[in-house]
Amino acid sequence: MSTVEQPHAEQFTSREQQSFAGTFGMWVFIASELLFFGPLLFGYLYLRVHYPEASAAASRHTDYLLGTANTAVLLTSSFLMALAGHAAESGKRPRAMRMLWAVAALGLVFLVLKGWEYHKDFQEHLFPGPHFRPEQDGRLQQLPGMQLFFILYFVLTGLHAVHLTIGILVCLAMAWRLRRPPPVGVSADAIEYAGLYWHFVDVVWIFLYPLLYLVGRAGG
Amino acid sequence: MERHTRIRPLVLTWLALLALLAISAGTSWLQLGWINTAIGLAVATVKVVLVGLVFMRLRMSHPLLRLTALAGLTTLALLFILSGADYATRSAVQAPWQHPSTVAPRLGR
Amino acid sequence: MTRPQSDLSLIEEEDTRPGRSYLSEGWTLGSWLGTRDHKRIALLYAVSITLFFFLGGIAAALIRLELATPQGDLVSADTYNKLFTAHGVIMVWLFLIPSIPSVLGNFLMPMMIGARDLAFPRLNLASWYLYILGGAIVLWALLAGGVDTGWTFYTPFSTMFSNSHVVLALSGVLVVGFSSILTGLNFIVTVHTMRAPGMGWFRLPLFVWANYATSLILVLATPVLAMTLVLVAVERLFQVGIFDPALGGDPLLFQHLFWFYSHPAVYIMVLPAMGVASEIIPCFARRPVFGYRFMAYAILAIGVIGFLVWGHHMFVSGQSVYAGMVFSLLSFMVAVPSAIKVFNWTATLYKGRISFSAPMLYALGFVGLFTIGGLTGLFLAALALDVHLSDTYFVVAHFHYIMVGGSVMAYLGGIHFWWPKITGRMYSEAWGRLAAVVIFAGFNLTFFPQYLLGYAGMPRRYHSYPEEFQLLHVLSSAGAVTLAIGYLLPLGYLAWSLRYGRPAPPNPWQATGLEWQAASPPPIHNFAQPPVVARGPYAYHTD
Repeated sequence: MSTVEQPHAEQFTSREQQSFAGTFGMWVFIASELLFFGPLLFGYLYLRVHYPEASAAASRHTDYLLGTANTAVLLTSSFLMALAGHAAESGKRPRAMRMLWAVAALGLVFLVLKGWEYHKDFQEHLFPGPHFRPEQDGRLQQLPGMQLFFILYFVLTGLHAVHLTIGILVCLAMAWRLRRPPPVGVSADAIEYAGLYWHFVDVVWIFLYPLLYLVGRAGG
Repeated sequence: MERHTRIRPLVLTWLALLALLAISAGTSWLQLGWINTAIGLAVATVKVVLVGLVFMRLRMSHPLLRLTALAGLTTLALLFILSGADYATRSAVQAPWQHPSTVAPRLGR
Repeated sequence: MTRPQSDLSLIEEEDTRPGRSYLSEGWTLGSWLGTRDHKRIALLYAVSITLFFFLGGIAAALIRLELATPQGDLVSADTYNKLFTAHGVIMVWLFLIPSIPSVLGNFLMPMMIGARDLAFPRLNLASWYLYILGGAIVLWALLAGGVDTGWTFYTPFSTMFSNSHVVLALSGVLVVGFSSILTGLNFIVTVHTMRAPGMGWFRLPLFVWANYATSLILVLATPVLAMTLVLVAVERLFQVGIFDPALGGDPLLFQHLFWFYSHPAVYIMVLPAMGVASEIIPCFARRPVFGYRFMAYAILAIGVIGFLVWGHHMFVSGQSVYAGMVFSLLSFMVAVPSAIKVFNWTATLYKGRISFSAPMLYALGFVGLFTIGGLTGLFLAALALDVHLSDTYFVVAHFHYIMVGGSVMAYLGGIHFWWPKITGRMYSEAWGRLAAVVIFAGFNLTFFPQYLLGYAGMPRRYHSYPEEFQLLHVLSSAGAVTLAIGYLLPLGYLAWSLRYGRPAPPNPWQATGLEWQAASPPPIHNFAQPPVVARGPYAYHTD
């Protein structure tokens, strides 16, 4: 542990105060994000409770393999992000940088898979609107509530993808700036905050996965 | 040496997360009715707790941070519980000013 | 090295040079638009919200002008809808919600806790830019033709039938919402982590407690609004949504989500006002606030219980009767901490040496008018009464008593109280008192008749009405003219004081509180060293 006082921003009285304030601030932000996704989850609860068969029928149209693979991708990216934070704390900046590149790469993999999945959804006429036509064995499915499910599916995954994209950009920016030493380059604190954000985005997906992909998988 | 012990929990957590994913993904193909949903949500909850405690370091952090997470969850729970109370009792007693389209959805249909 | 709290040598040595303060640190536009100083950001907000206040006031003037005659003869029904929507959207999101927190809170919070700035100064500036961006988008929506849904954007009208610029207006509100979330985040982190040595939670001024509780609501409730507005926009843009009954959705789902935010939002608007009153009343009664701990707990209780009562906006909307009963009961409970505060402000006056300065007039007016508004809230919380009173002018009168009679008066009181600190000038006390009295009279003339109108059945959001209501409407419109004059007066004498007012000493009111230990106006970093706090707040005489 260094005995030299690390520099801190002028509004704080110590580096320790600044670090804690930053971590606390990120957690407050995460709490607000939870309340941002929350209403959608309540809408989902309303849907599931009022239209259980339609929810199951709609969920069977989602791509199980892509969804499961994407979940594994995100869980792994969270692991690598935790490693990045650990490396940064230990002063191993090159390793932290490599981990951040890897996290960003996995995030991009997720987006590519998601994009492919959206493409398939469009082709199967699952996008809500006048062209919504879920089909099973060539016949149109008429269950009311299926379109509601897909409205929530696209809004939830779309918002998640936006948050993920922001996270990827942050990781890329940090990895780039890690090439230079502190105080010009980014600090371990900043990587910790980015990590918290990334883990939160992962947490959202952890809940979305069973809610969107695993309803009634075994059949009606 | 200290760093060794600090990477291990991360690796173990990751493996646990993947195992939990396999459980929820696998059991979804068994016809268990409402238990499928229960398993899915239970697994998701355990995953979130693991990510929160280990990756996000809540287990070793200042209590204020845990309180913050709890505050967010509690507020969300209030939304669910009180709004849910409306939906759960919507058809129980009809009031003259209730429009059919806001009463019609019945639970469990 | 510690310094006693009352030692004026907390002022930096360099500031004994005349003219050195946060105001003199740079005269260029860039030094203002790129500032990180919480005091300058507070002034940026002050100017912006004043502009929006008068814009919303013009909408109100047109409304009251139309309502002076029974026929809808000044504007068409459509235009009238756009006027009250503009009035509501501007006054709620672009004036009231930012007013006390972003102006007085920004300026004073760091000083009151003995800090040099907020925790995240750049985020603070970003909050202001987001506010300006959101305000500009709302203005764009108005100039493009306006919105006619009411500030409440109820579905299915807003999603399916309105032909006005709903998505544009929603976007503006969304952006302003993010501004307030970031301000709340900044305040919460600051109060938890940056209090000066010795400044324990129960030595904090109640203004800090009030803004802290407000910030909790800002952070936890505003995101719900953001998502709700996104869903309305989605439904409008894609022609399908979860509020559409034809698809199996529920219009009431919108109302649950909207009011889950918008009820706590009214506490965002009133809690800081309570904080201001708690600073002014002890000072001008020369007494410590009565029951400090209960006042602090009551603030927290209002914040918490305020999250549990939103269904009282939905009693006659089709919500279940049982849920209505639960929300009614909870709404009665939320009045208890507010009542405790009113009793304690009153008890603070006991055996005091009361001086009726302009801030005190505003603060006392706040207590009285807030009480009336709060009591009428209880009338509305009673289910059976609400069936009769819902969507009438009774509701309009109720919330204006709280928002205008309460929050706006407290905001003006705070502006006057801290004017010497912020600007380094004294305003004219005679004009200040005159304006306070004119505002009080004008306010009551405007809004008390509206209780009677509402009880008699006058519906809200109607631009024409039966002849028998005209007398009360004319009284209300006359009151509005008086109120407008009252609001214009401070613009005049406060601006005048900036140039010709007497230079203010550090503590013109002999008030307690760390902000009064710094110079008027303060130096850029507030204090030379973090002050060490050894006493509680409100150390006025206690015999």
